[in-house]
Amino acid sequence: MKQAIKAIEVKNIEVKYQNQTVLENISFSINQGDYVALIGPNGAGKTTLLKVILGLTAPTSGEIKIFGQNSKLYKRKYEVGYVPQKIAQIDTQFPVTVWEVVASGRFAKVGILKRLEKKDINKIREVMVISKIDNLKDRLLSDLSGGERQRVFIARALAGEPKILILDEPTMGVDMTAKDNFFNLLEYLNRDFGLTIIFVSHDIDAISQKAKYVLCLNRKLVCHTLSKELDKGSYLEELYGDNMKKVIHK
Amino acid sequence: MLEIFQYDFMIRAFMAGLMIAVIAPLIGIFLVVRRYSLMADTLAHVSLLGTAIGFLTKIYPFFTAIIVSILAAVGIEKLRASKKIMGESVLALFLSGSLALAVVIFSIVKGINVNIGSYLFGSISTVSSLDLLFILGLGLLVLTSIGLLYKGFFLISLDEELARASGIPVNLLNTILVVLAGITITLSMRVVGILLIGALMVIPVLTAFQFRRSFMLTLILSVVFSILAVTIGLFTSYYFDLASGGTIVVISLIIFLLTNILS
Repeated sequence: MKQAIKAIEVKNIEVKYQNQTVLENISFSINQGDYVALIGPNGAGKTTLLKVILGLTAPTSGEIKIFGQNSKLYKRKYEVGYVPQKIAQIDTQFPVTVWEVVASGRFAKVGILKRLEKKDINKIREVMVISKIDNLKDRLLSDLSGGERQRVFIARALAGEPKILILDEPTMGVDMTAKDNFFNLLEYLNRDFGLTIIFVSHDIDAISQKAKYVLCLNRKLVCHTLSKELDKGSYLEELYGDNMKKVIHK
Repeated sequence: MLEIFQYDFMIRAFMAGLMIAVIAPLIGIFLVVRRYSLMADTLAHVSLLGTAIGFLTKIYPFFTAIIVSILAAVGIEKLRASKKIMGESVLALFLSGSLALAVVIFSIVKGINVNIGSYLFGSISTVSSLDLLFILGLGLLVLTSIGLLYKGFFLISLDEELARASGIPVNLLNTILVVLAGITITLSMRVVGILLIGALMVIPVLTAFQFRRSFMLTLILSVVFSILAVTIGLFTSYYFDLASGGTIVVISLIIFLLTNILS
């Protein structure tokens, strides 16, 4: 049997801020092509964990490997696409078009001193079509809805031709239709392009339906399981407390 | 009308003015979108300190002003990045500190015939050939650097964290940007003066913002408005015998108001 390639390996990660432990002894690995949801209550350390993987926060101890290489030595950082939580709050005074934002996702791959060539322009066009924002290319970012902005920043991440896509609460502040479209896009990227996806969400319903695996985090790793088995254990109670009720929307 | 160009000092003034008109908004736009407009005023005051040091040490003041501005710009950026002091407080610290020091030094060298007013409010007609050489040479350096590093400056302005996550050297780019800002501001000292340079870096950019176009087009428009303000300002100040720095900034404000009404 062909052995799966490990896209991300997290080994004994610990993060402390001013002697307060934010993450404690976290270890897990994610295979290439996995579709993983990261859940946990507020303050569980989800964003911190993502930032450690992205190299934005240095862990107090432990090691991260990206495709088998220590993340500090991993040069092609643009291969780990990132869609941060704060997109909805990006400065609306900034005069920037959708095309400019998406194209900027290509800069790190091409090199900031080099010009975009025709193949780069074609790639930018292609990811805009995939993300269904090609009709918005000349619009200002500030004129878009929350859902449209999310797509723009996914397209931006895709422009760097990532192998891994990390999204921090991507559906925060978007309506139900936009949310459905958004998860359909992620599913398509995972299925048809083999993109490894990790996303943070509080939407247990969406997670159990969309993601293949779930990482449960509350400063420590509570579970790393198939999403369909999330109900079987006492993981949710462990994460959110005994009073947690799950309501299925049909 | 073109008799103005019969005089060498006016040709020098136009050449210096046009170079500043191009580079000031090019740097200014990155400061404005990053909500760092006060940086221009801070570095302008630092330039005054550098000028004072030049008079004290009898070294070409333009040179000492550039060196002091670059050192201060790097210091400000390091303090801001360390997050030990809040961004705006760092600027206030440098702004008032350097002004105080400049005042003290000028009081020491008051025996020397120094026209501080020409540094505070600009005196473009007194730009010497050496000054012009300095302005054109370093101005070209600033222009080339922006051309080469445009993508990097755009990335750190859009979102520093995103830029860092994709492997962009954010700290280095931030430092280069503030150093270029320091150089631009010092070069602009003779054109509009340290009290008005912030306006020349910010007003054309705000004027261009009103057209709600792409970042690149906004950048080009801001340079066009800046060139327009400097050209009209120089003509007006010459024919009506007005202070050049103030006139340029007033024209810049009139253009802003007109576009505001029209848009």
